[in-house]
Amino acid sequence: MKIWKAFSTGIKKINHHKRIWFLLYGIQFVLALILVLPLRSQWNAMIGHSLAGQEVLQGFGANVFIEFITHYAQTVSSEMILLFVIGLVYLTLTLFLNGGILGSFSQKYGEYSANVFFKNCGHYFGRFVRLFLFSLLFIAGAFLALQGLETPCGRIAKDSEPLRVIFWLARHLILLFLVFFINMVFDYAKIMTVLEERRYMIKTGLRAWGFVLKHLWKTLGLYCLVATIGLAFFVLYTLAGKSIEVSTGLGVLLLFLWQQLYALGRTWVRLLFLASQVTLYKGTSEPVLLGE
Amino acid sequence: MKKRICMTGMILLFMQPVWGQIIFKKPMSPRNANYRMNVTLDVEKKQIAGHEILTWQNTSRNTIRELQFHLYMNAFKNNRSTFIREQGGRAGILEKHRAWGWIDVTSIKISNGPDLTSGMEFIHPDDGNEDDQTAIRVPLPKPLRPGQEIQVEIEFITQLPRVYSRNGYYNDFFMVAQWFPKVGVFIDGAWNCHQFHKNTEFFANYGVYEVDITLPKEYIVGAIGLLQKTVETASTKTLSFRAEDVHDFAWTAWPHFQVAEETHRGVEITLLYDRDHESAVPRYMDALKKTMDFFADWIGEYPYPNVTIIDPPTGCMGVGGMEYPTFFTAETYWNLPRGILLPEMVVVHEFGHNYWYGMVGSNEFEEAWLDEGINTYTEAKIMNKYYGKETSYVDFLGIRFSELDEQRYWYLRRVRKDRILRKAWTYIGGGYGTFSYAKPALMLQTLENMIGQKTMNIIMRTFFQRWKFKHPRSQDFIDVVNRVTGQNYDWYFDQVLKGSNELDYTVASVWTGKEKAPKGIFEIDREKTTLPKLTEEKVESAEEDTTQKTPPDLFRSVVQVHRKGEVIIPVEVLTVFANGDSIRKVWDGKERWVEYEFLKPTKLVFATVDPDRRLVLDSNFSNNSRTVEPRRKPISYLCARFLYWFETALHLISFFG
Repeated sequence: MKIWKAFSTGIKKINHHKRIWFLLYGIQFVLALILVLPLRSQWNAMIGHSLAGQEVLQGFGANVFIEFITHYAQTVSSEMILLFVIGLVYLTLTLFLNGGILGSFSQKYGEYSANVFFKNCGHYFGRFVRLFLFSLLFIAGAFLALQGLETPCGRIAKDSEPLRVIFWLARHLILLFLVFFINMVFDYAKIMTVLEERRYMIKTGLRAWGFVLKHLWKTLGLYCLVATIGLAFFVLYTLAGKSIEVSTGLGVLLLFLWQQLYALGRTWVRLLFLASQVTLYKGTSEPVLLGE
Repeated sequence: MKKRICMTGMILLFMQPVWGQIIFKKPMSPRNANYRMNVTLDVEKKQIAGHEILTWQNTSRNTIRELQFHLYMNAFKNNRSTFIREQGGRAGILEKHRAWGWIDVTSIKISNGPDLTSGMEFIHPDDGNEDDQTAIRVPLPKPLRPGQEIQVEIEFITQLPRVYSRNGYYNDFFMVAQWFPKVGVFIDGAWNCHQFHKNTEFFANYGVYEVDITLPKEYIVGAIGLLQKTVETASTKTLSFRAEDVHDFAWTAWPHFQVAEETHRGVEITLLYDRDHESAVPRYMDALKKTMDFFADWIGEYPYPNVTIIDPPTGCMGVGGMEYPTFFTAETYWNLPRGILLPEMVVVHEFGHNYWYGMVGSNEFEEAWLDEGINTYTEAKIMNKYYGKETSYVDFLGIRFSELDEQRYWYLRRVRKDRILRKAWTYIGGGYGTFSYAKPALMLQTLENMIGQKTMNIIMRTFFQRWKFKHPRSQDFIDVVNRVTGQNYDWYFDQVLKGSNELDYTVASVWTGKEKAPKGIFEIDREKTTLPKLTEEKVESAEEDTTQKTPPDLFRSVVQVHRKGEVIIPVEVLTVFANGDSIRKVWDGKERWVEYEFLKPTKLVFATVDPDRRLVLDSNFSNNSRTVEPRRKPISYLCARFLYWFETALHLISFFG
């Protein structure tokens, strides 16, 4: 299977499952809205009838932020707790929905239906939780390995500030790469779980490592291709977003729409990772007996 | 611009024969504490062996029976010193690397007179901490009468700590500060010789310092004062420095310093810097020259012939951002973006201390605001002038912070928790920065906004000229304010300098509505008239005469302003109407609230108290204004922004699911 073929088939799969795309975006939007609402009421109390809000529209509005974090410190700390809780909820939801998404993309049980989608969500949820916990071990390992590099790096660069900065940047870039690599490996583990009805998650995780390493250039190439699309979306969003003038009501509305369009776009990219990886795996792996 | 950057530059400069050069023909200060020191740096042991001759004159009206000295370096001797105790007993790297610092006075005697070593004892005037050894008293065999002079010879050994809180060593870098036995100040009939605290700086008499420093030949040295001569042997060199009308002596040595030199306004600028910070050299120089120009125009020309900036090398940030007379340490990082104005800010601030601490020699232990507060106020003026009022602190990636924002941030965190006028080591935890830097700067800016920049400039110039090379107290500053303005501003300083109350004005409510037509019985032309008038045929049914011509609509608008804090300062209230009319009123703020009522043919749009934001001490700007109609745009904008940021956070989380 060629990378490009997996990529284009992935796009077709998403187009075929637009409802999943909008569902994911909708959940993200609603949860983010839950996070914004407490802040909104405090901002209303603070600047709802004040000229100070104008500073936010005209520039960075540093004073408004300073007064908010000092006079509404309790709200800020509550918001942090809420962010943590909602983050956990969203993580759980993602683990739940991934079964349905991968089930739909693999068309294992025929055409999409809400019933089948949610059945798959529940069916694979427990396995995906175990996979997630297993992936955390690798992430922790990557983190610790790079932490271990800190001492020798520090020794080499102790008298050179440029080296210190370069090492710091390098360490974090490597960590970022490893985290995304692990994420890719475990995407394949999930795909294997769904396509091959695997039940032993440690074994599946290890097999996913085997698959990725065996087809390293293909898997990595596909991942980079999709990531490049995501990056292009981000650059476009940032450049165009800068030109939106927010001093008018229409400007604020435009900004909101532009942000949401981008949020929709990156949700599409997230699905594209999964859809194209399903296609690549199906076209590359050797057939395995269902249920191991 | 004359600029020369080379490693050997300083050495060549040192070679110039400037033997015994007197810097100022006429002394600028009383010069009653003069030091002659001969010291040797042992770069292996990180130790300084020194011989000090102190010539001290009793300029008081009292007879003195003992001398008191600071031994600042003992603050780093163990974890029971007052300095370390005040930071919770944690000595950080001193403990980790067992790199403690200390000073031993091995002998002290009167020149050609008796040995005083045995009578020497540690004193703990501030906290009674018996473990603290940062101050000593030395009884004199004969009382010293007013006007008499005494010469004392001291042998001492100073062990430098690893770089820690302003001084120390790191590899072959040395920053040598607070390192020699330094006599206290006899003032107001008593010795003022405090222990060294975590949150205090220094206080000393002015004098002449002649210091010979011997160290390995390859070291490049920067120090307070002017280099007089250099004598070299096969492996060492001795540099002789002379500084006049200063109250401290600090120096630095590192073989790898790069040197940049320029001259500005007749002052030789020497920058000793780390090669890694090459890109910051023009930023340092530019900021310094701007600051010198500002001070010269504002309160007076910098009188010393030179100034030295030290850019600490990698790993030595602990010594960065510290002031000494004619000499200060700066701070930057490798290729720091231009929008982060750290190097500029540090240069502006630390050079400013040549005026506020260097020349105006206030007591940093007891009234830290007089140097740090006035200097922070000055720093903001300079940064605002040269780097933009909105961007004087940070202008990077769309984030804009001004000096005022930074000061207000620190101030708002602890508005009511303490007062400015307090001994620096007795501030509430974490309050030193707020009450000696931020709040005083805001207090002075508020004063300037009340009395006008021109008058404030006269105040600052008068204070500087009146108190340079002297030791002013807070009351001396207040007296200058009162004299220059011709008014008594004690009421202001009592509240914001000596008090801990909050200043917060708010427009509590605004209301506007159509004035109702008069109804009822009114005395018109001494006759009782019922309004509105009724037509004859409608009297029975009491219907109004709608055919009468009605006057134009009038709107009654009511604005209520509250004083939420205890601090009372007269304040302006601005009301703006729909037709563009505006009315300004001045409220004395004495009552808790005031109400203004307007009857106009137009609706009220908003009211704002302190519309020009003169009272920068106000703890809440957001409540200073109130609009009749809600302002939804900013809220919608913030909601959109935060909604997007939260969605982004959730999106990132989804990658792990």
